[in-house]
Amino acid sequence: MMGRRPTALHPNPWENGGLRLEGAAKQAMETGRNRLLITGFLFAVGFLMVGLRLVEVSLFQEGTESRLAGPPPTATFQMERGDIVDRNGVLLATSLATASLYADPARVLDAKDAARRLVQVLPELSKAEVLAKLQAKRRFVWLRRNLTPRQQYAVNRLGIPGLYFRREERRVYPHGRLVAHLVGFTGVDNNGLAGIERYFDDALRGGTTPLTLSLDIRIQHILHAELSRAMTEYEALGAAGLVLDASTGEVLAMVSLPDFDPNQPGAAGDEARFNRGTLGVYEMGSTFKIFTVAMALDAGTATLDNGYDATEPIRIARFTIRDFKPQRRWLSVPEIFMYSSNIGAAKMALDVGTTGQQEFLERLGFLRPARIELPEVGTPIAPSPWREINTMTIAFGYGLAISPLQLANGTAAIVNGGVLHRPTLLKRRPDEPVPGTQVISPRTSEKMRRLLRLVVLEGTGKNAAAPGYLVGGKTGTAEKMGAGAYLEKALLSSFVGAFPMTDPRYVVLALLDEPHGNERTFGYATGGWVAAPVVGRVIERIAPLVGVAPVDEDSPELREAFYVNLDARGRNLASF
Amino acid sequence: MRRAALIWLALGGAAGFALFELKYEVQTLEDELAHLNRAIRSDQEEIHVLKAEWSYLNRTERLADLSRRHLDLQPITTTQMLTIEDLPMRGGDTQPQRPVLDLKIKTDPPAAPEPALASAGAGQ
Repeated sequence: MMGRRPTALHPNPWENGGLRLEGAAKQAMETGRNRLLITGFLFAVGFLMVGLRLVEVSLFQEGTESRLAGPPPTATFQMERGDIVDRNGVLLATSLATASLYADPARVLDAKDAARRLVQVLPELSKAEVLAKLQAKRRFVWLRRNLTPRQQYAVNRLGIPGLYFRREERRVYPHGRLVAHLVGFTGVDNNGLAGIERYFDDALRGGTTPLTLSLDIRIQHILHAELSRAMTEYEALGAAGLVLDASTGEVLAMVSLPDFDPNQPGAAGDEARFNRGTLGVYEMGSTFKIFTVAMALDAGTATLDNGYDATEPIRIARFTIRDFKPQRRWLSVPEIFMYSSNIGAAKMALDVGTTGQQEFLERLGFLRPARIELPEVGTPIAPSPWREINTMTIAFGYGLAISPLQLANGTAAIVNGGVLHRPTLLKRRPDEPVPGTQVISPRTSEKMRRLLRLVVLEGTGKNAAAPGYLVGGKTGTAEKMGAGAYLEKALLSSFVGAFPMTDPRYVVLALLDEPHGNERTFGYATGGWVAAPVVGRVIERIAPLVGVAPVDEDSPELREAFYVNLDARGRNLASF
Repeated sequence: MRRAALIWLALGGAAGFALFELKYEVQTLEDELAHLNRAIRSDQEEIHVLKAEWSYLNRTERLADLSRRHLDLQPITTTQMLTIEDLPMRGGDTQPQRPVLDLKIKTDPPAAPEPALASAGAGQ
């Protein structure tokens, strides 16, 4: 460079300035480099963060962020509330999807016009009410729940802004009033309000497997049809009926009349919604003698061979105990049962004693509410204090009120060999053992079967005979209590029976509230005339369904098996 | 050096393409699955509704009414029931077996057994 140092003629423009400028340029270079470094560093940090975030998102955070489209639909379909089916799988209650109409008043442009047009499509709505709802200062008002598809289409076609549909479920009862009291019903928000729907409310919510009841819809239908017929024929206020499996306690059918449509429970009155089978408690009358006689036989204070004098009515305190059809003579125990003698039953109970009777009825579960899967269970009304007079009246069914379910269940224990089972509305699995307590001895049970058969063969229950099925049972006619006295004309007529009496499988109960006699019953409205035929017809119709084969009732073996010596007096006198 | 780079480039490209293809294939299959699942659900819902309708149409009162109007059937009586053993044998055995179930309902009440005999029977 120095060598080329030119003359003054060619002055190097950089020569002098070069030295001068060198410091400034270097500084500029320095600055530029620094800036680049900082920028690069910042970029590096930025990229590093992006990279780290990428790693984090792709490797460690997979799946935590929800996808906009939601999870892919699965193939399982499930309603919010489980189904209820009968023992054969027939659907009794199910849920169906419906659309419910609601509005967001803030988005409705012209409330008056919207209300006018909406009422044209849904005439059951009131225009003023709809208008008030659409002008409300809220963001959500229900307009109509559970529209039919046609109504939904019509509302959609109006094209009113601010109206929306929400998918809802509605409870449907295909069999309607037939099982109304047992299955119950739900409210508009699908919460159980009565019956099984209420008792198993939690289990039914989100239940996938259907709830299987012990009911058999065919038997329920037969019982319902026969009871309705009797109720119309005898102009009764109401009726109740039960079919119970004697060896497991399963309720196969339970009817309470009048009934209601569970699809419109609001339309029914309290009377119709009242379950007479479990919630109603009644003084049962003579059917109670089943327990009195069983108690006396089991305690050993009476045998089939002795008896009591029923010539004179019993006068105690201000009461007189007399017989409905007085025989006015000494009666053997089978005769007391057969002719339904109140005097005899009262004396029989006295021999056992008040404590013995209380203890026996307690064992049968008659002094506390029945345990069954229903919220509607009545509490028995027992006398307090329990005096001797109560012991005597309870012996023939007055003074202690129990529900028809308890009566049927107690009868089942008396005839099935003496084992009391807990009644249930749920189907029992055939392989599981049925818990039960022995309340009377099998020997007493066998004697009671003979006596019950005797009532149908020779006594007050002849109308319950279903030829071939060996029916046995007991009639009951109780006067209803009204305003402090018993009403002679207001009766509660019942019949509780079981079949086949050789090895009872089913207990059938029919009860009519205030029936009126007609020409066919010769004016009688007693259990033997109005309730016994119902049980007979029900048994005749259900026996083939439940697989009970008819037998020849006149065969010598069966006649001997059920033979009861009525006139045991001679032997008895001899022993005196 | 150059060749290795080319190979890597080709491999990378192929992997990228394969990934691209796979992703779209998976997406298509997922859409198909979602579609099928939706169809299954809607079918199940329809079956559910049909079951409810089936139960509704099988109301016992309706069946009873239909059978009364269209069928010539009556409730079974005890006289119409026999067991297999009661059926006569086919062919050679001409002697028909005695029916066990002779359930003619007698009009007159059966005579009461003799008290002496019966008390022996009931005495157990």
